[in-house]
Amino acid sequence: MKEKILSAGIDIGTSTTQVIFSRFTIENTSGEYMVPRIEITNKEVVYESKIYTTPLIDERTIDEDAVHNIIVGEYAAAGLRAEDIDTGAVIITGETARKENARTVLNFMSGMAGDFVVATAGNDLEGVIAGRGAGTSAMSLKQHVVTANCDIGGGTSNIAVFKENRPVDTGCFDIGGRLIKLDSTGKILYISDHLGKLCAKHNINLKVGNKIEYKEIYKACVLMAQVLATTLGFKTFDMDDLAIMTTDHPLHDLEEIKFVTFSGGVGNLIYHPYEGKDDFPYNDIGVVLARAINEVFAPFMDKVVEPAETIRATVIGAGTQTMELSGSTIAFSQNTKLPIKTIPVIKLAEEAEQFSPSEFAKHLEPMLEWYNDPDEGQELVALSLKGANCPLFKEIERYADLIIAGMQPIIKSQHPLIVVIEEDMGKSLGQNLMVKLNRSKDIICIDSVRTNQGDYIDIGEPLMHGRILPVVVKTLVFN
Amino acid sequence: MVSDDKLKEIIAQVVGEMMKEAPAAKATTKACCCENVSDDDLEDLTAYELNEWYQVPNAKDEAEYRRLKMVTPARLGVWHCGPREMTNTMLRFRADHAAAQDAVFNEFPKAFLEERGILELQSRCDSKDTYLTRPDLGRRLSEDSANTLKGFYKKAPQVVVFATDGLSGTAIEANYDIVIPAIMNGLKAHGIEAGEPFFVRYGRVACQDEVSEISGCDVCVCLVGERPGLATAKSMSAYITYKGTIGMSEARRTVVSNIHNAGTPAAEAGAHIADIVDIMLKEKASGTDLKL
Repeated sequence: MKEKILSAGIDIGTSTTQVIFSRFTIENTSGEYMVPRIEITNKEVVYESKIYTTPLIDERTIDEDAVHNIIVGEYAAAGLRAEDIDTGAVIITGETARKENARTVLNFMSGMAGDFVVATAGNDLEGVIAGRGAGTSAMSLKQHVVTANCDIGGGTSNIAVFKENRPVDTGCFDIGGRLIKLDSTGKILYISDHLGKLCAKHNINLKVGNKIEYKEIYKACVLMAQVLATTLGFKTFDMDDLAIMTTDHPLHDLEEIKFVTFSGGVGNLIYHPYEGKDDFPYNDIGVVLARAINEVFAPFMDKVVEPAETIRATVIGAGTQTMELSGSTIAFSQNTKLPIKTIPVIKLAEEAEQFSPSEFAKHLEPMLEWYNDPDEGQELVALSLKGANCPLFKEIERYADLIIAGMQPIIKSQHPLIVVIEEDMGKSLGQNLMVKLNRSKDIICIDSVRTNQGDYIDIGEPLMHGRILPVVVKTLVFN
Repeated sequence: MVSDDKLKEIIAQVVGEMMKEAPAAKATTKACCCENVSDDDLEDLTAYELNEWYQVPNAKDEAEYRRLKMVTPARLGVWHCGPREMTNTMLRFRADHAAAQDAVFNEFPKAFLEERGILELQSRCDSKDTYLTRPDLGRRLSEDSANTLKGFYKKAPQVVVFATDGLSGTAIEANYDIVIPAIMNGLKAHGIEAGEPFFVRYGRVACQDEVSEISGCDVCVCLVGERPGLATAKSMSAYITYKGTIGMSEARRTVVSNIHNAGTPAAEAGAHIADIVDIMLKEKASGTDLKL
């Protein structure tokens, strides 16, 4: 039994906008005579749009209508309608995400990209999506080394570090090709605040209205490249510069990075330098920044690897790497309305799973309280657990008791009881919860999905005759 | 043709000469022989998971080799002595083989059933030997057992779940306490009534057909120990039928196999079996007639 689903990836970046469609094949890879094991067996990109310049009305505003027209045009070119799309993600990356109308744009995008789409979720997740799309995450699993991808677009550089195909650290910097914009005569139209500060500190003479000087901008680009080398742990240059250019936070220096890949428009120029004579072919500093990165990283060239995808990394990641499947043996009430999007995840430390039910509930209470609005009442949250490997049935019952004691506010509310457990015990646990709650509460109990405190999760409509649920885990915080 | 006696003579002669030629080897063997070693001083070779049984010295990439071992119970990376396996590998192999033999030949312990108050029935086999040599008798209940079963349920239950030792009593011992409550719980979650479970000694899968006929159940779940291999002796299967009848086609059985710790965890398997029962009751079919 095979099932095919269509996924859309839409990336609206600071400088470019792209669309891809891909087709996933989902199959039961276990024998007819065994408990099913349902997996995504193939992902195939079936359509790639051309790379558009993101239409803007002014510095702060995306041209909604123009973006809408691009997307509609690409659907038509691919021969698809919005309702053909089962899953996917719309990502508004870089500086654009902070722009005023990002939310409006996302709203009409959600309608365009099927019922089950994730929206933008901040720099950390975007870095992870780019790293997955680039193939850097997969490289960490294949070679068993720590890898990092640095996605350098127009406005920001999102870095994600991967170990065994899992993101372990992220960082974001205001470093990109469009920190300065020029007119066709080479006059500076715009300088970003962060870069302005950096230039002021180092007496680099760049001012809006002046003609750009190559030597000066090259100096600034070298400083930015040094910030990247510093945060990656290759060589420490200037920590103050690093602080100036940091968006939210740098990398946390947790793992020694063996290989780094670069993606994004500037990333592409690092591996494939611009061959023309012009220094500012795109009326920005992307080409110069790529040159400066090549110079600063020259001593570390043995660590720099070209990824499978560069300029398309984010859109490929959005379209093919955001959805995962739950375990193949799970339990959920048939009348639960799906999809449910952006469910906050609460999780206690693993030791708490050994507590008594009342003790467990006491520890969980403040976390639930956090999502208890005085006017709206208890909001929907999902409880995340580690669970037990090959549990005895007594252990299943013990977990059910913990959940029932801890999740009382949810059980009493109109929300479904959602449990996300890592070990393979979702079906038996879910059934036990149904019995213990007299089959009167809607339950979703999925396993084989790893989530952490602070994550958000989307749960889609069932696939493969209702055996499994697709999920998107949105990790916003890495420690 | 060389006669048997002549052959024996030649062998004795050759062996005698070999012994003479290798006195040093003999001496070494004797030197490392110790007597009166207590079992406590001996390493338990069966204490290791096969996944962790690794003895390649100075491997170029031990971590990668160990990762490879994590995906298979095959005896990889056990090293060698000349063209042969190491002594401990050979002993472990024999220990695993012995566990498999025990699983087949040992009597299923009565105490296990008594402690749990499980009703014991028996097939038409009167011993393990008969069981192994007469599959036809293992497919039917003894007259006494058939009579006992007739009075066991007050009214025909919708679903009957029972276990039989089959080719591995060890598998039933290892999984019973997890899988039975998981199935019962799952059925309850679906609002399905099931009769009290029981045990059939020396049973083969098809004895479930007589159980179906006598009890009058709609769906019959037979948990049976699988023929053990060298990787595990604890693997169990569930054969599930809708309105089974004696002599029916084997194609009407739905099977869930490989229920053990390294396969499908027993609790999840039990929950899955309950779902299958639910579907069978709705679709009124089993085996190849039922699309899952």
